[in-house]
Amino acid sequence: MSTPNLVADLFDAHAAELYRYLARRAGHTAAEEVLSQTFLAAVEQQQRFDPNRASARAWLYGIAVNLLRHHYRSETRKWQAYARFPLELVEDTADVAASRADATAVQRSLARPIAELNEADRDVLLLYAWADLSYAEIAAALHVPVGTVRSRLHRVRTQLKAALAADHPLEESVS
Amino acid sequence: MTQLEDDLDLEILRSINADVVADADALARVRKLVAATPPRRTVSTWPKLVAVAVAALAVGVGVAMVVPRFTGPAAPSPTSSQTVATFTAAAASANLLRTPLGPTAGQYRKVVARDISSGGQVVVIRDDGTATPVDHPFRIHSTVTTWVPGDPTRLWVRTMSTTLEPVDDAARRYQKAHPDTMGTTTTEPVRAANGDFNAAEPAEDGWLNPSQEFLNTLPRDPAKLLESARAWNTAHYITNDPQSVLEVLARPLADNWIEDAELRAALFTAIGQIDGVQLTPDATIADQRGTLLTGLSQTIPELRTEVLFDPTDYRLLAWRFVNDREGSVTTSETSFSSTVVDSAP
Repeated sequence: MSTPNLVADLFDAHAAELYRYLARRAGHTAAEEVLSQTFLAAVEQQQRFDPNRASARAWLYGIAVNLLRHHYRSETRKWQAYARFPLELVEDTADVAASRADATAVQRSLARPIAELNEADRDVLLLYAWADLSYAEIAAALHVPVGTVRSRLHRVRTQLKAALAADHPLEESVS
Repeated sequence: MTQLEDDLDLEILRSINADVVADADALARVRKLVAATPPRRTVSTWPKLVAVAVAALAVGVGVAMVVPRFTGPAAPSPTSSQTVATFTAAAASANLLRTPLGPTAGQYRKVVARDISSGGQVVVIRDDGTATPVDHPFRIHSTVTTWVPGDPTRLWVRTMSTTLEPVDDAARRYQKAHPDTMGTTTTEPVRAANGDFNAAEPAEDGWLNPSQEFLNTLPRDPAKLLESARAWNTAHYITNDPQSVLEVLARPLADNWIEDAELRAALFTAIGQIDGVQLTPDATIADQRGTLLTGLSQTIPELRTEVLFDPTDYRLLAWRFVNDREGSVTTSETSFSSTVVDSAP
């Protein structure tokens, strides 16, 4: 496959999904910027892509996550902001769906520990939870052993569960 | 425990920002840019051929469609773009180079990075199913404090604290009524050898996660530093456009206190030698005044990253991201200061 076609095919297959992942983490403006650079890097460095080692999807996520590291601090602030958003201050709170308010409260319990994660742990967690990459794909994307992915994910999820358990005893959070 | 209960954390995490969709216009713009890009370039011709820059721009994020933005002091556009030769000469003439007294073996350098950003927006889903963006009623002041030991065998220590600044009377009343949840929070101290706070595994060391050990290996020649940063970018699939190189070279100065004035000077000069970086000799960020270096994004021309240096000792004073797409909006500002102290938490 010629270079322009390869990149065009990769773009059509993965760009929307990748953009959404980036926007969830870094906002729309940053998503556009990082997406551009991801595919430009793919154009430039496609010779280094080894289909025997990683899927194209994992390769692209690997490039994007590297670029996303420039946004780590701002992403951290967003998680902090979300963790402390006072829904009660919304002017017409009565119109806010009760189920949504409950969900927001539970989500906020996760936001605080996520804000405190280092880049490496946050990458593994969100590649698994939001990008739906497998352990092997995450390992290929981040250039770390699969065992490292497993141990990081286990450690981070233990922290998240502890935060949930502290804020929302099970009988209250599962309804 | 059932599997559902066991995966509850993931289920909740997946529900956060689940409504975010890809922006069709943005996708079209990126596709056009990529399609217009020649398939093969060399590192040396990259800045001329590619219209890209790493954005480090802290716009918008993720959490519940939070879009941080606050309009601070108008970001001064670079008014003078000096040649590399002029810049280098200016740097070399900074003969007032100061080397601040470093901590003794029993002391620490306490480095404080203060930044401010808006809380952005949160999307609220109403009973009728409509989604309404609501401005976060607090500005967020974050302070990252790092204690760098004078004795390199000791551990570095870092804490992060967050303070909420109400933007209106309702928010002030709410904060007063909820001091337990809306007051200042500070994380437990995190400790790391060699300043490597991201050291889940040692393989993470590098320009974007610079440990002291990594800094010790860096050349003091600006040209070689530039070469090193570009090579590292290439190895990590990061494009070598001007803004990206600027951010990579400035990162060690933002994340680690560098006692070695020669290395600070080399990093400062190397940034000045990046093709496309603009210099404003006398500028202000977050009440600090110094020499401003601006890296313009070429992918999105309205985005820029600005780093402010003290030209007398090449210390990084501040870092700012600006988005001019919808007026001049400073999306975040960070300023740095340090003192020598006798103990760490």
